[in-house]
Amino acid sequence: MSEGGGVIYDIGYQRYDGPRLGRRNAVVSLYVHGLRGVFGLGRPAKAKVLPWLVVAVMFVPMIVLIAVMSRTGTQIERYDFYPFQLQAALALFLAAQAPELLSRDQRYRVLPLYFSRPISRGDYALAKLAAMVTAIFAITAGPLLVYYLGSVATLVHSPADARHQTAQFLLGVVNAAFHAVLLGALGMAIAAFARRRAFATAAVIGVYVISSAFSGAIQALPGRSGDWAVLVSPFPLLENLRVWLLHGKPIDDTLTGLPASVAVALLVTAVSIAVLVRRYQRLSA
Amino acid sequence: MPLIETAALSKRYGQVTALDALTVSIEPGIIGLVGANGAGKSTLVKVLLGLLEPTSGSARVLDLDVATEPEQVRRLVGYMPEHDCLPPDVSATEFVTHLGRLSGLPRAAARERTAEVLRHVGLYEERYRPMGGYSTGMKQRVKLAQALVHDPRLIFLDEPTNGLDPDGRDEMLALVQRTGTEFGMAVMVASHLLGELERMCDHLVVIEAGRLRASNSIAAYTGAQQLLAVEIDGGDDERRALAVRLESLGARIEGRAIVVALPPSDDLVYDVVRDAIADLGLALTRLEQRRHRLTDMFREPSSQGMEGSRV
Repeated sequence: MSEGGGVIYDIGYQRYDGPRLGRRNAVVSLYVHGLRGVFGLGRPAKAKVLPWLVVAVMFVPMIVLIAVMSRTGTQIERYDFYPFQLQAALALFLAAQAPELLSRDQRYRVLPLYFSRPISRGDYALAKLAAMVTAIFAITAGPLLVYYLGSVATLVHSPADARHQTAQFLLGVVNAAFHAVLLGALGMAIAAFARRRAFATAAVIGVYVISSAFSGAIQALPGRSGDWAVLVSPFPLLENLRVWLLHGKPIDDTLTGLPASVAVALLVTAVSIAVLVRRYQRLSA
Repeated sequence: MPLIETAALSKRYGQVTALDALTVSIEPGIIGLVGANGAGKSTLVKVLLGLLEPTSGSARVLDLDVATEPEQVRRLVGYMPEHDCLPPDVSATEFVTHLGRLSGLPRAAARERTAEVLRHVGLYEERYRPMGGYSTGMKQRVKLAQALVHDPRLIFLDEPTNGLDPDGRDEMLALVQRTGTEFGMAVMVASHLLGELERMCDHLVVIEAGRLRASNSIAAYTGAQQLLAVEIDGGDDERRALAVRLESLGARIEGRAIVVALPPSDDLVYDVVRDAIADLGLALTRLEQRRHRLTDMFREPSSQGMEGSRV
């Protein structure tokens, strides 16, 4: 029974009387922590294998391309290269790392520690989402930047060419941003529902593979009757947007035009974010 | 200013009522929150932290409304949950630093405070190793450290000795008590083990089936409960005779002993007992000061006075 009844006196322990930052600082910390976590930084070596393998797969082809171009002196324009050819790598990255961001905290019951600190549940979900979106953007737009800088440095001969390169690069970046936002939001919304990492990974992969297969099968129907199916799966939808953005024309000229694709992409993103935030508002802590 | 104040606080999960119109006002100190498993201790703590929304009623912590100022409340409190909450593949240093940042500490301060609180809870070289390899005792220490890292004004500890062996239990209790007195921090400890709380708290809140059963300082519970057990040679007759003689001290027979109340700082009781035994020509065999255990008191609500209580 301590002396002094209700009043407790400090004897010797150094209390903290420095600045205390608010909620915004907390959200930014959580975002940075999440971004580091996606790439396995501050974690054991095992957690770094997959993300850095994907990073290599994304960057190495562009570096090889630059090397080839500078040796042969011929330009090969590939701003549309990403992320179409690397959908599988992106899907794998998302399926493995979205659970890394969300399921661990649920499984190990860390959430009460977060939610008893000055962040809201919505803050938590959005900070984690932002980390994932940033990570995908970095590994899709990053290689484009490497290519752009490499080709400008070695192969651009005229100002007109430079302008063309810059315009294509920026369109490529917009394309990468579409990928990051749509894939990130959808993947995180799915992963939020699984406590176990393996289930979350399977669910994310499952949604991408099954909807892609479904979309492909419908599109393969005779005539144009299946064209709308581009809209039912994220990768075909993003591919449609990419062709629009970088080549100025749709895959076809009917339902799957730019407005419909953009509208569906935005709708899926918005619904995914709403589902993700709602999930965290309802999760018991 | 009360530390914690609730007014008609209720929390229902469907048909189950976890908190039932709980109204209590608690002053700063080391506060024990005691009740059987399922009495509503954890629910109360979670409502006070804003982790759970009450069905009705209101609560104030550190004079802040939990419902309307949750962010301010959470900046000033720490929480050690009952359950495991440590990711196994991160080191204690990394984990506690991260949570310190989330509690509002700038980067350098978070690192410094982490080193300091981990030392305070007694975690040394092992703090750089992944927490998956820690013993239960070490995990409990990290859980306490993360609740302290931002130097809160109040910490909530939910069953802090869960899963610990007797030695670990003693160490944790000493640590909690030291935290309350040395850190100058208000502490609320929820436990179903009354004996533990009795040892370290200065105020006790008892809840039962979501309702407030009692809220008092430990001294108020135990002050009147200091007892003197007197054993004499002889049988029931002798004991009865002595009990009658000592009636003014509230004597009663408990097995082989006659038990009388022993008010604090009143040595006259010993003289009265000695004289009574001498007058009756009895032989004293044993004289023992006995603390009336809180456990007995709550097992038997009617035994607030001396009558009717058994061992």
